[in-house]
Amino acid sequence: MGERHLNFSSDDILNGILNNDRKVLEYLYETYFSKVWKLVEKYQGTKDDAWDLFQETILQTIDMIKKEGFELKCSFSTFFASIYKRLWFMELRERGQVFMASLDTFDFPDIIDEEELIINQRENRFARIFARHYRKLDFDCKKVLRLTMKNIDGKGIIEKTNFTSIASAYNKRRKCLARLTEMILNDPEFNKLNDYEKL
Amino acid sequence: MIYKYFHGELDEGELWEFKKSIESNPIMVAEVEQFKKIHDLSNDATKLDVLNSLHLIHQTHQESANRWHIASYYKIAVAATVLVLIGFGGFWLFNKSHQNANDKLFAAYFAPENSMFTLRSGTTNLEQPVMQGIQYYELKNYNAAVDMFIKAPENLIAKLYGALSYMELNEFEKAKQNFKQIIEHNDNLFIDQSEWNLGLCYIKTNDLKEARLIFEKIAKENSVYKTRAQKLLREMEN
Repeated sequence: MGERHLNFSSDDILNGILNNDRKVLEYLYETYFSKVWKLVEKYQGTKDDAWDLFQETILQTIDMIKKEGFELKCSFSTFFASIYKRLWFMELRERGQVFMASLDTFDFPDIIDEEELIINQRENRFARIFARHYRKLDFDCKKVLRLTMKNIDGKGIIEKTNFTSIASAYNKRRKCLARLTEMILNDPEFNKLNDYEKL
Repeated sequence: MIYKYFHGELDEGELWEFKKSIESNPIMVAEVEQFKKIHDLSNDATKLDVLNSLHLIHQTHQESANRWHIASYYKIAVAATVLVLIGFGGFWLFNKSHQNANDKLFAAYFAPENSMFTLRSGTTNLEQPVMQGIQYYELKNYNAAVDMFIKAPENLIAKLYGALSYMELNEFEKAKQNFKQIIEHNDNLFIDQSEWNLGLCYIKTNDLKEARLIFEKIAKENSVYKTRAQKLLREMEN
């Protein structure tokens, strides 16, 4: 828990992820993305695979931190590496390429519950797809969705936007969600997901 | 209908119909679940915010990596161009400096041939074109001289003075050909002169290896050019 990474302790990193701290996320990207890419490349994965894996590792970290009673019992780097290595092993197994790598060769400490990863993975794959299409929405759509995500009420939304009434903001949100849903349903990656992952 | 359901916009009748269709239609169930998932996610900012931040970071790094690649290619291209220019420049300067040194050697040792000496030591029975050519040569009208000499292709004096004329005209390859033919003839009085001047032609054309070979040969023999060849070789070493 007391391990420090440059200016960040493990606690700083965990809190930084939860609070969307740009400096912490940059630190994580600069420190770990190349390692993730190296592992993926070793087993014939692409850079896009590495990027997806890196994002999912961060999302898994969020899930674990948010879990009640979570306590980091090793260094953050060991914890993080355990997640991305295990996730990549699961991915290879899913692709039928598990012959390329046995669990032993991945050399990760047994600190991550694979069942838990599988459950979270369903959500997180979908979250990645959701975020990808959310970014394609126009500015007003993103703003109104963000405000409702933050539980800002109708009055607050009007104050922070150019909408003239709660009804118009509500209609905008409804249309934006419909547009977002349409894009997600037409996403090839979404359609490749197993039914249980879509649900 | 699904949107209305999730936003609580269905009236009692619509809601009844909607629930009935869900019970009998598994595809509809899956669709409803998908909408529920999207709806739920649209209410959870943490992951979305983190993913968006990561996307920006990734994009920035990719762009800077691309810029670095472009800059690298540009730098490599510039460096390569500079190296090529330096290479060519160096090669040019190297050649130029060598050429300057060679020109000095050539100027120091090349002397217009005394035609009277040759004529006396050669033959007095000269063809008309050869005689005219020598006259032009004495008048330093080398082009006219060459025109005369090529009219007597078998005449060795014409070959010798033709070669000397070519040297004056800076046509060293043609001069070399003439000198080589005289040397290969091997039974005439002009071999020493031809070897010496052939060596000078090699210096002038920067073929120092051949020049050295021929001057070393002259330096070892009892040629009238022996002393000059030895001196020239020493100067070539410097």
